[in-house]
Amino acid sequence: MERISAGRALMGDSLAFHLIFVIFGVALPLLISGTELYGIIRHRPRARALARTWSKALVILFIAGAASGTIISLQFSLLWPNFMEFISKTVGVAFALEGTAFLIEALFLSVYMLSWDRFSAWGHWLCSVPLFLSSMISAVFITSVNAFMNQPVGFVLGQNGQPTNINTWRAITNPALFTEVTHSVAAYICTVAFVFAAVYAWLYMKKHHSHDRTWMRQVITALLIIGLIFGAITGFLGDRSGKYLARYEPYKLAAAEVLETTTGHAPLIVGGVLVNNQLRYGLKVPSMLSFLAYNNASAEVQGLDRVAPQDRPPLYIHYFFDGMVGIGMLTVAVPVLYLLLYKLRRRWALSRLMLALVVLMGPAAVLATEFGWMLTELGRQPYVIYGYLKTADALTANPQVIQLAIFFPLFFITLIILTIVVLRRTMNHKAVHNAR
Amino acid sequence: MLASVYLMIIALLFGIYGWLSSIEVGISWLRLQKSDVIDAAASRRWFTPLWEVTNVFLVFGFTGFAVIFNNSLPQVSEAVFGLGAFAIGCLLVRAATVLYLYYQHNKLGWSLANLLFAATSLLIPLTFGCMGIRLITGSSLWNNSVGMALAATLLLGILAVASSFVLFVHRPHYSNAQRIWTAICTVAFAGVGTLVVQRAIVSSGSHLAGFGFLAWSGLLDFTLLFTAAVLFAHREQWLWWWLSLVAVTSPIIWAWANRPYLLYPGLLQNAYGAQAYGQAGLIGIAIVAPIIVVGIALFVKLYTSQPKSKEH
Repeated sequence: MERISAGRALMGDSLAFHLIFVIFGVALPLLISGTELYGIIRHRPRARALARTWSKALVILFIAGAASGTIISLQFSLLWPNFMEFISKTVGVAFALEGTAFLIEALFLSVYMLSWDRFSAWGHWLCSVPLFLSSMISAVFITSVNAFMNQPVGFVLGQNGQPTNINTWRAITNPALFTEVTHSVAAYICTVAFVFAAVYAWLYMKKHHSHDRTWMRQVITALLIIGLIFGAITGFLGDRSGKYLARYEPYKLAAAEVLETTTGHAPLIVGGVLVNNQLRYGLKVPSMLSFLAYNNASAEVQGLDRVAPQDRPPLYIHYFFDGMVGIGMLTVAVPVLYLLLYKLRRRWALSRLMLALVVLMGPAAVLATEFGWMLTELGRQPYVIYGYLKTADALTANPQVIQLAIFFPLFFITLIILTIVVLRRTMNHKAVHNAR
Repeated sequence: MLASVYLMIIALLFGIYGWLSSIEVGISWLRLQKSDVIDAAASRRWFTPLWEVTNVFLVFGFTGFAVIFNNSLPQVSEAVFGLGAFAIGCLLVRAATVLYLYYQHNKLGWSLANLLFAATSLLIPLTFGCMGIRLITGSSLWNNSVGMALAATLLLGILAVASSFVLFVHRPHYSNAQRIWTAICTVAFAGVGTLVVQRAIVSSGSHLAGFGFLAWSGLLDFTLLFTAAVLFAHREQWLWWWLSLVAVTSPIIWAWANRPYLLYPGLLQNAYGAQAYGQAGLIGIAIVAPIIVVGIALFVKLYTSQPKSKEH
């Protein structure tokens, strides 16, 4: 294994693993706070109990997330010192602010957990406000760093290859910020709603809770409605992201759609298989890419011919793009189907087939979020900071990276298995039973 | 000036993390005891997933260091790569162990999981401390007497804080053997610090022999006398507060002693690369600090006043 491949693999493994916890860390506090608030306003003790059960799951996810987050922060500095040097000079303050928000989140998570039954209902709910606000703020700042990597602005490159005349505020509020933050946060909320709906659908199918079935139906339905709302919002924001890509990161869009030549009436290709860097067997929808990118079917879309061969992203990101969009469509279609059936033929809505579909949507939604980030990261290659710093130049010179890339995935796999086992224990039928 | 202020803030964060992780070592010792030997409820009380939030001090300190002193990152990364990789491995093993133990209903006693928890809890602060020692000595830990003496003091310091923590929370169940162990750790910590490190630094003509070094030696000299006094007066729990203060302040004193260097012989001022937002960052810290203080105060109040029935 080459050093650069090892570095990429190690960072990719770590980020893909950490992302699972990021999804829950950002979205779950909001969901918990909303559920508790609903329980207080509508005088539903069950809703408050449900929020309490979910908050226990949040703590477990927080343990693994804090460990993987700590590791990521160390890896950035140890493995990619040249990247950190560049990024710290320009948007380093965003890292620091993210860390501060994380500190506040961690503190108020502890306060929130310790104050169940000890504060008044409203007092306890108030503790969830800094919790979900800081988790959101943390997401905004860390995403701003990634957005800067895609759209580096607010500085001038000096003679020594380092940024000078830095305007940090402009660097943080780069053109990619809004689309990346809104699209990813909406996707996280949608994903968490689907994962929890999947858990409850699974428990419902297993028929562990004969006394709780009405309540569980309500929970599944409510979660699917949240999933539907945020799935639709994510879809809308995804369309905005596509338009942003066409304007600011055309090379990424061209690679995602394997568009070799700059052309008007550019087609959208759905599916297909890459053979010798040619996409075959895909379903071609004429002019659709031009329309989606510019709201104009005849608009010119930049192809890979505008990018030097050595600067082209890998074309396999097409699979991630299709995977993300395909699952994204299902996040709207499946809840709509469920809700229609629930209204018209409730027995069908609660059939094993429909519930199995809901169960499958849990991991599928996580996968879609992973695909989205893979598209963002791999679509920027061979650059880590687009146009300024190549990934190969950002890596440490230390050869031990190769050994780390071999051993660390084993640790990550162990950690995720243990997390799932412990979560199962927390979310088992007793926990659900307690939510009655 | 800004570089020095930030260095002290980062050293304080590492000091707090070092103190908290030394407490973790103490918690891991409590877990190794059989439940009929100790107050199981009290030992379980300290083993809570909420404790993991203390990792934020490490993240904050490490990220802060990387962000503020970004000019030195390529050199620092090269210097501490091996130690850093080992620390990451320990963090992963520890996280997996904590999850497993949490799943196992907090089973106490000698088991592989509890031993792994104890070993990694000790190795993590030790490794991060050694990274700090690598920075201030400027050479590989095993290649210089100052580095080795400091590493030995660090190890004894962690053990001393851990022992005094156990003494602090578990005093009624503390045996005479454990009292003696705490005293040995504390005396050895102070003794090695004042004699061996002092001798190593002075004889090698190290740049560390400045005001900060004298302050640190003073703290350890006092610790030696203090230990003798509290043992005489049977007020062992005072040791806990005193050693906590030493643990939190030690990184600050060493960072101060190391000035004007960061990764010796690299200058602190040259390592500072946050010119674009350094002042704004300090204002931000001042604004956010009250929220953090309120959060910590609430946490401490709630944690220390937990109802007995909720200890599990």
